[in-house]
Amino acid sequence: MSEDGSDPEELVHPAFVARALDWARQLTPEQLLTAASIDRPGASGYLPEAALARLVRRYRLEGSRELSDRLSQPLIARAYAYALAICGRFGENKEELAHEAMISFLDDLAKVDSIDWWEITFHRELRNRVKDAYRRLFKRHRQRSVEFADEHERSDGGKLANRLARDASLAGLAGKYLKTPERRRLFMLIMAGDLPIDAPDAPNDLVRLTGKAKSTLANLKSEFTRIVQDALAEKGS
Amino acid sequence: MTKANPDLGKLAENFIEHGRWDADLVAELDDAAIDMLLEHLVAYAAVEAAADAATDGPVKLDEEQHLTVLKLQSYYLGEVSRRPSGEAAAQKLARPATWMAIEPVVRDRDFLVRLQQKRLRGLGARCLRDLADLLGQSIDALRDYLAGPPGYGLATAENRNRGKPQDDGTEEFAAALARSEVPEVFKRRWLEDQP
Repeated sequence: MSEDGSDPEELVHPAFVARALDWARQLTPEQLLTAASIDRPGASGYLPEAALARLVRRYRLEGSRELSDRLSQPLIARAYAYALAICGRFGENKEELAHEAMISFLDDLAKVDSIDWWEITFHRELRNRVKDAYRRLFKRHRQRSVEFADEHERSDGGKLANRLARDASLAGLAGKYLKTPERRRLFMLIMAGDLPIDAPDAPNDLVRLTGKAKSTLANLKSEFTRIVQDALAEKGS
Repeated sequence: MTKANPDLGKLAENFIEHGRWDADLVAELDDAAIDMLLEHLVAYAAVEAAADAATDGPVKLDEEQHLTVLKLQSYYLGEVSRRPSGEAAAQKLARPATWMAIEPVVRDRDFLVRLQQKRLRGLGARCLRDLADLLGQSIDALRDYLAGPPGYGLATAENRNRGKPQDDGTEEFAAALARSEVPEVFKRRWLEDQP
């Protein structure tokens, strides 16, 4: 979803970005820099990140490099603050994940001149870059051989969901039991992720990542395990 | 058999967000691709769960984090300065491929052909601005290009112009736009802003 609630499928500035850009055309460089420094959405004069990305590119293309460079600073600060808010949930990996996502954003900001998804759904795009970084991290973790002692405290390294995807597919589960995005997210994290449910001594766990209680997550794991077992039994019968 | 280059990220997003699972496509994936799909699913779930849980909004940056921002800005500026100089805007705009690259957005090839051939008169400032953004050019470069004499830039096969004036001359932009298949969102913006 975009920041204004629409779900655009094309590289066209959504209405809230187009409005901000139309308004920004009337501003002097100093006024523009002042507006760019307002980082509270909804505040008077606030320029959304998607519009700022276009302005950085526009002034760069038009030869106003100094203004473009100065506008890039608040844009980068806002993007980093957003990335850190998400990555802060990933314990000791937060800096690495935020940094990887930011480098990917800055590469696009520097190398692309035309409209891209950063100017349409900025926050979704940034989350996607964090996902790419997390995926690489998860892959590295999966490659390590880890013995887990307690079923409720530890994940199974994805074996169960992996087998499920091959043998039963997630389609039936989604239709029958995993009816909301939140349940589908928790299913993947508990059944296939590499984080323990609750391990205060570990760098991170699902309690910290999701903000949910240990007992809630443990109950969900029992429920999800039963669902998977039923699905596999149904497929085998 | 493995399907070539399936969009595993989209598969994962469709499952988590909408509960849609493309069982036929998944059945075609080999073991390595299944593993990658699982990685996409877990990453999607983890990041969206973290974003949901981060209810306090963006982090207030401390001094050390502000230093990181400056380092990131320095990286960005370095990447900008390392960009190859490339061809001049006028040359780029004269290439039909530059204009055809925005066809998926503007959706009317014939309209783009006439623009590229400089056969439309009276473009408003907002239209020039939007086209410059879409093309990734400065507004001055686009204005200068369009101010040049009309000419053919596209191969005859591309220049179909079916049902359009075959006058070899120029036409009012508003009339061509009204007749075109350009999306309504652009038509409204551009017609409102006619000079």
